[in-house]
Order: sequence, then structure tokens, then C-alpha cells
Amino acid sequence: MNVRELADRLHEALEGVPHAERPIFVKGWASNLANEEKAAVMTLIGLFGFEIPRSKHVLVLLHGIRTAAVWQDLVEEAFDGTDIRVIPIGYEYHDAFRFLFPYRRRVVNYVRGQLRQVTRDWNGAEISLIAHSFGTYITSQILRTDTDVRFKRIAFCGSVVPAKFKWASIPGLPGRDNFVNEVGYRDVWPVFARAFGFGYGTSGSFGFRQAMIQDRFHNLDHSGFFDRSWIRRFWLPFIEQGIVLRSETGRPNPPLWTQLINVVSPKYLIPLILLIYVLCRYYPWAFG
Amino acid sequence: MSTSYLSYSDSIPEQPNMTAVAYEHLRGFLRGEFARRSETQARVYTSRRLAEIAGDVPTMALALALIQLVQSGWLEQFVRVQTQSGSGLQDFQSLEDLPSTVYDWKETFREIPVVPENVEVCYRLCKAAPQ
Repeated sequence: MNVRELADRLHEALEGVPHAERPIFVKGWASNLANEEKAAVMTLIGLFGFEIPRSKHVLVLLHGIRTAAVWQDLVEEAFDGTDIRVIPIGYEYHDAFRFLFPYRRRVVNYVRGQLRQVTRDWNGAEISLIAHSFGTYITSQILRTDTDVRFKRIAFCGSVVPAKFKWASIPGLPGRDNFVNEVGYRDVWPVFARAFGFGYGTSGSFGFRQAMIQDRFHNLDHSGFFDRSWIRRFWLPFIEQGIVLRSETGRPNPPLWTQLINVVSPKYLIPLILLIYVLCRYYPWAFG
Repeated sequence: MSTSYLSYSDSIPEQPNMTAVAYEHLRGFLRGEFARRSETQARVYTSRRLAEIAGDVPTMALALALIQLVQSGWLEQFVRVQTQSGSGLQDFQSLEDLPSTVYDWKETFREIPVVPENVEVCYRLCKAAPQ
């Protein structure tokens, strides 16, 4: 049971109910709830009276590919007891093939729709975002076109957005103090994504190094951020209060092979080798 | 808001869990109350009183702590309907038991409607302290 969510449901239910009639209304409303929730409703009424406040800060979670996004539950758990309402959003299971396939408009549109729904439902509330992996790519595509989408704070992790993405051209970004890119320097997936896919980059492995965003380096791999203690340590103070704690480790040089694969991208190298082979095989005169 | 960079450290402490903080404060208080139980047998705590004891914690964290204390058998919840001046008239186990009116046998000597102003959610110690 999430108390913040229950409080929001109660707030919604009480809207339009005349003040004097609220105790009797809540009596009927609570009768359909589980016993645990009934006790929670009583607790909320004890603390707030019959004027339950609505969440003023909503945290949207957007997952990556090949995942059931269990980490979203961990974040929800970590934020329980705060005044932030956590709303996980996402899309259907995405495998590596679909991830590499360059047509991604459908999934971007699907997430855009969900994001729009959240902004409609929480009109007036501040919205923050934590996105992982392919979720960071989707976010970048939405922010590129939907200039009215605004976030209070953004945290990226395992980002596959190109490091040269033009953040500076996007209006209404939260600004460097409120936009953190969590970089796992043991994370090889952004490097692979860039090497084999189109439109991706290595910002999750090497950082953005742009003025609009703070890169925070960690000794983690692609999904190493999803630890209860880590979430409480880094994301809770950031999303709640805008505090960006220094990461717990220094930043080593990335392994040579990741640097190499980053420079010599196989997606170009393989067709090039094939082309040379075909030319040598069928047009040997071209090489004298 | 400007960024607050804390100094580089090998072990950054976790953000304190405010629910756990509130829970521990209240549990410590309730332990003492159980120890002095003979003197405080009919002791009732309003939500406001428990909020004071819990200290400076966010209300949602306090709500969670109170729910946990009820679930773990430290406290029992009930709803009290009061007179206009705040004197208790009748207690009910849950919100579902609330009637639409109660008889005010203390001040006005007539049926009064149950409205938000005369409903108070209160707590009392359970029969035995949980282990």
C-alpha cells in the first residue's frame, strides 16, 4: 500500500463533496477498501482532517529495454513517506532487435501519450523524471519536439543519448543544478548501443560533458543504480531537495576496448569490410 | 536552487528514512507509556499529540509510522465524536461505524450532526505491548 497514492485517491474522491457531508461520505467510500487501507484512511484523516492535500510533486519513472522494470518498485518504496507521488510509466517489452531497429516513432509516441496523461492528471503539480537506458533516448526525443513539456528535475542513468545531443537548443530544461546524468563507468551497453545502433550514444558510459547537465560518475554497470540504499542515498535528496551529492568513487580512465569501439564503430566497419570484399572478389581491376 | 556539493567521501550516508525516525520516536514513547501503564490505563492520544511526540517529520512519513504502529500492535485507532468545545461524546471503532448524528449529552442535549469539526481520530495503547 502506498500512502501518498491513497491520499491522492481520497483527495480526488472528496472533491466536490460539501464540507459538512465529508465524514459520512468517507464512511461509504472507505467501506470498499481493504482493512489495511481503511486504517490508513483513518490515520490520514487524523492528521489532515477532511481536507487531504494533493501531491504537489510527481516523479515519473521511465524504464529501458529487456526489463520488467522491477527497479521502479524500489524507487516507489524509497519515496514512500515523502510528499512525492511516484508514477511509473513505460511501454511493452522491448527486445534488443527492436532497440537496434531505427524505427522508434511508435514507442516514442506511446510514451509521449502517457507523459501527456500525467501532466493532464497532475495539472499544477511539479513533475520530475528518472529515466533509464532506452527511456533516456525516448525522453530526449520527446523533449526535442514537445517544447511545452517541463520537468522540475531530471535524472538519467545508463543513458544511450548521444553525447553531442543538442540540449542547449531545448527550451525549458531544468538547468544544470536539476539535471543529473548518472554515469556508470563499468556500463558497456551505451557503447554497444552506439556501435551497433543508429541514433544512440555513450553518455551513460562517458558522460555528456555539456553545460546543461551534470555528469555524476559511479563505479557501476548498466543497472547498478537500482539498489535500495543507492536510491535513498542519491536520488532521494536530489529529487526531493535538489541536492547533488558527489559520487562515492573517483573516475578512472575507461577501458581501452570501449574507447576503441567508440571510435571505430562496427556498424560502419562491417559494411565497409563487406564492400571491400565484394570489390576485391568481383572487381579486382579496381585495385590494379 | 543552487547545487549543494558535499565533500568527497567514501561512505555517503543514506538519506534518513523519516518514517523510521518517526516510528522509533513514537515507539520509544509508547514503551514508556506501557511501563507506566497502571497510571495511564485510560490514556488516549490525539493524532496531534502523537505528531508532536514524533517531532519534525513530514506528515506522510508520520502517517506511515502510525499505520505501522497500529499494524504491529502498539496502538489501537478509534474515532471520537466530540462536542463543539472538544469534549468527547462517543467513540467508534472505525469510520464505517460513524452515524450521521450523535446525541450531545454534555452541552446542547440534542442530536448534533457528525461534521468534520467534531470528528477526531484518536489512539490508545493496545492491551499488551508487542514483543
